Amino acid sequence: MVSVDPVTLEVARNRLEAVADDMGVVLRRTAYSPNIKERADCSAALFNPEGEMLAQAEHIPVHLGSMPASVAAVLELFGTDVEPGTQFAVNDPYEGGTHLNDLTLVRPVYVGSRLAAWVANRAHHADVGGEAPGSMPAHATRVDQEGHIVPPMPAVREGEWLEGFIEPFLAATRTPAERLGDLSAQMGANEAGARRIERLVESEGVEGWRRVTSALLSYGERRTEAAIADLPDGSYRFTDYLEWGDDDVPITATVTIDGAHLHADFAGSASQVAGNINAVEAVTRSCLYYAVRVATDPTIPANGGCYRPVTLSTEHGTIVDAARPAAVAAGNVETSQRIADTLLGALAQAAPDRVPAAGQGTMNNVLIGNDEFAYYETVGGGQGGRPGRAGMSGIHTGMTNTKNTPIESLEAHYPFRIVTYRLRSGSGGAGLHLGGEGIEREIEFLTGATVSLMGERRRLQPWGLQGGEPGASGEDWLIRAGGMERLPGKCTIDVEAGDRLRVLTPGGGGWGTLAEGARS
Amino acid sequence: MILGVDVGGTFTDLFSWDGRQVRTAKLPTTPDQSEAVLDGASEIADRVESFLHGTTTATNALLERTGARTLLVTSPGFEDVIEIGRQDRPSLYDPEVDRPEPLVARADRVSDLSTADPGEYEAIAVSLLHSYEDSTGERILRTSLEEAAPNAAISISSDVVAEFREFERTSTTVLNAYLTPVVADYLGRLEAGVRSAGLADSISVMRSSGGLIGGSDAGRLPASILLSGPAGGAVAAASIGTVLGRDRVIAFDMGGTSTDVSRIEDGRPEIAYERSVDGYACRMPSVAIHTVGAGGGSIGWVDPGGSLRVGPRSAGAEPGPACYGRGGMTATVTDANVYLGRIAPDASLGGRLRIDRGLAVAALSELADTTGLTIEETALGILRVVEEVMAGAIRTVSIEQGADPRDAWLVAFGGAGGLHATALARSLGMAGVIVPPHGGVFSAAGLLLSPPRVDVARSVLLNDDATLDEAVGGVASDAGRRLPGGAVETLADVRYFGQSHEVTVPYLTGEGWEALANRFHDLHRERNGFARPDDPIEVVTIRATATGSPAIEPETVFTWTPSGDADPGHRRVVTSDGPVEARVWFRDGLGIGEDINGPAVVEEREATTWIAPGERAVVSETGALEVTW
Repeated sequence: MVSVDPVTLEVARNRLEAVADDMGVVLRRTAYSPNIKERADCSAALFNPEGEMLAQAEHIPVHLGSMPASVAAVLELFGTDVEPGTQFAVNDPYEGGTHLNDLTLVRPVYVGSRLAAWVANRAHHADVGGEAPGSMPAHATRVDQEGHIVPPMPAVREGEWLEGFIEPFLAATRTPAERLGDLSAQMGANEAGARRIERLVESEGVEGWRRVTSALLSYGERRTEAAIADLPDGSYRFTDYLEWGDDDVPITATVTIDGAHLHADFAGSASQVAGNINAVEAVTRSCLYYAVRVATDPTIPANGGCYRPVTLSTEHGTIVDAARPAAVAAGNVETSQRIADTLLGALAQAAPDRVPAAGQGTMNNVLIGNDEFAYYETVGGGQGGRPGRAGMSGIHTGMTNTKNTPIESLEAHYPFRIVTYRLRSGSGGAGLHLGGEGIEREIEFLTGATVSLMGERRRLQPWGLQGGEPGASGEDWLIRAGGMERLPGKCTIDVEAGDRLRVLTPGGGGWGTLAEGARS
Repeated sequence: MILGVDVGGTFTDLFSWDGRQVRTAKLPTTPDQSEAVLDGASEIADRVESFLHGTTTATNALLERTGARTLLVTSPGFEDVIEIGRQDRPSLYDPEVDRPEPLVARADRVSDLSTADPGEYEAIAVSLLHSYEDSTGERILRTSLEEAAPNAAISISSDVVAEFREFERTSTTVLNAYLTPVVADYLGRLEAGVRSAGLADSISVMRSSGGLIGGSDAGRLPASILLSGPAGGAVAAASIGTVLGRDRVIAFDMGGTSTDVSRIEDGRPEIAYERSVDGYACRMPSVAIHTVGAGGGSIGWVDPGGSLRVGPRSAGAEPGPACYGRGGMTATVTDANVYLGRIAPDASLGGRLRIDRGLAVAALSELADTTGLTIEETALGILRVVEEVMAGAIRTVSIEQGADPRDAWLVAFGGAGGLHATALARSLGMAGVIVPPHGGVFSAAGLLLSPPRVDVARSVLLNDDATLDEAVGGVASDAGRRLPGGAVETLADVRYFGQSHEVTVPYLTGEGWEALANRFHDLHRERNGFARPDDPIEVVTIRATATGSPAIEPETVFTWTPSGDADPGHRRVVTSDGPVEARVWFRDGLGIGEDINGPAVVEEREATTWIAPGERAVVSETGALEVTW
């Protein structure tokens, strides 16, 4: 183990995190699309030459821990001796990506002739082609139906896009101008990060740089080990379910804590399905790192060292480790939520004083569009009741944290109006500490449109903990002149002017047994 | 005579100008702020023409949740907008971190007045959807509420902040209603006290935007004075920069528990149109101050991974750093500065408190046992770490905003600012450091340099110029009417159609859509690195600012007459390159043009400046030290 003094360590940590933060700021400031600029669906990170992450500016948990796979894929294909000034692109879920919308640019940083680091950033591109606008067609069974696939390949040389990458990518997307704007922001963010690392390495010397970066990884490892060691040894098993038509698709995790080491085994999880709810292994890994942070010490600075004491085993070809060519778009946005729930359900047995009851466990994706416009939103819901107090109401939980669009803004720009947007009274699970409430959102359409819903916890309820009751499941209703009709959680329908869609999002589970006659 | 009184958490600072000379005073802040304000004012003045006031009353009422019981009236179906917010949670990984509790409980949020008894409430907020466009509904509601609740303070959103985005508007309106009774009561009491003491007939209050308004107007719009205190420091920093011919400066106010940083361009503090105060969204123009929880009282500690951390926990004013001898046992930034000799081992702070170096050594020695370093290395380490945190704060207000700090000067004030300024400025490659005179009462000085100011904004959502000039003219004349004789400046928040991120651009009626668009494209390129001149633009909000003249010109305040002897001595100071013999000067005795080469320490009553080896400080005509290297 490399050791440096406590001052050098702290200064190095601050500087490396500042580099990652700067990259994230450049990315958001120079990006074109609201999805990156406002909703912050992007992340940036730096890595050592071996591909271990040194620091990350994460805005959205599902990127946590899934980015190293992109660097690893580039390393494996192109090695450490690449032409300086090259940036690589990848979105292939089966070779370093997660789902096609998330495109990652990876750049080596050389100081003199030595590889000193990698920088990488990931951004969600609103459309990368495929069989539906937004590149998440509900009917897809194969990944190539979901959009344009970019295997790890050189994309930039000396600040210029390479034709082999950029031409097919822009040809595939429905919004090439916006894509080019966002891609330029990604390129610039990596360049900014590389310049700052070059300066740091030059001032520290290559050997000094190696010493502090490996000390930083040891630091993350030590803190994570200490946090895991605080949990009681044992094997903790939990099963949760996705809704796929009328079928319940099981996800099972067995989390084993052995001293300072934690292992998660997904044996018993369902095989992949002929649909888009399959998650690739990088997504499952990301959920694992998320759940460990929530259940142990969330203040530990995230770096590759934190991942060393945490291991994962999955079976290839399952819902948590999909095999090509399965479709995966919803794996990132819905299945990830359930994998995290499953892991937290297991970890709650080891850390009952830290883990809340299940949150809403879905992102309640709503896509509305016709030939004139396309609109995408996700709706918050209830957080699970917590060991110390009630869960929060009307927020995003789990693997996402994107913001809403103001009603006054969207009514000014889209042909629909919002009739209600309020908390869904009584939807939180009962218990000593109530689950947070879901949201009731009703939309009236002013023109004909196609509406796609992608939601979970429509039949099954977010579970309670320690005797708490489950939260209410979500409901989707179509209200038209003839009456009201309950919609399935995942569907695509056509609506007419005057129709209304009412989405009731799930409440969080309750925590703790309600004392006789008392209410929290 | 003109008097500025700025109330901070620990001290109430006074700064007066009688046409010939400056007088300053510092008193402990009293629980009812008006007591120390009146005591201090009577101490240095009999009668003043202008009584200018910076106050933390609004901020404290919010932080301590002592505002009024408030009723919120909304459109049906949107009662919970203030609780849902933007749907995001405050911490990605820590489920225990809460959004702040809404200031209005769910039972007190209604859309149907027949379900509430307005007479039960001290304050009422009204915020209807789309009221920025059409305020009729809110006005009708106000009329009927005035009858039903004649004693309640009523805030309607189209008056408080007529801007679109329902959550931010509602949140600001609720803040305003919630704070009105407390703030109006305080300002009323103070004004009466000022009048009965014969000091002045009325008072003016500092707004977050760095301008002044009348006491009763401030009482009606307390959401606009949440940054009343720190704004004065930013204005003063801008002024000293202007006098010295430095247009680009970064203000760096390092106190005991926190540090405020803001950027000044062309002699004006950068303005933010929205900020969060203790987690509550407040859409009011305010000096774009970034605060980090690190200062002289920040505590050094070793985390479970063996890294030396400094802050965010602070020894504060009570018990304070170990060397204060008031029971503080843990090593702080101040203790490190004492141990290393930058602060005199027997310094007295404001004549009340004597430093005890032995206690600093004891606390550092305990920390050194945990770090495995020597006491000296530990003390130097604390400084290195805290300076890294400060550098991050400066990066946030400069590089992250697309502004290069390299040709800017750092204006350092507050008790600890001068101890760390040059190290910071050098690490960021900045041009130099300015240590202004009156640094201990700098925010109070800023009150005298601030203009009366009125800000008006109205969202319009325009996609062509059909009604642009009409809208701009309307907002401008509104601002002009509220500040007769003020100079009116107009601006527009513009974005590319379909984006949700605006850039605020100057615009004058008559210039036309194309001129506006070109200016927007240019500014967008400068800030964000690209422009799309062929894409349609959208004008979201029109702004007008009317400003009057400050009470005095900066050249008048920043003058320097040495008093007493600079009394040069020597002291051993430890630097990261080893111990040096530093010259020690009393600042009050330094004459204009005096040239000081580091290593040197310049001491004054409330603050200390450290000039490292290789650095050189010159006393300018303003009395400011200009340090370069």
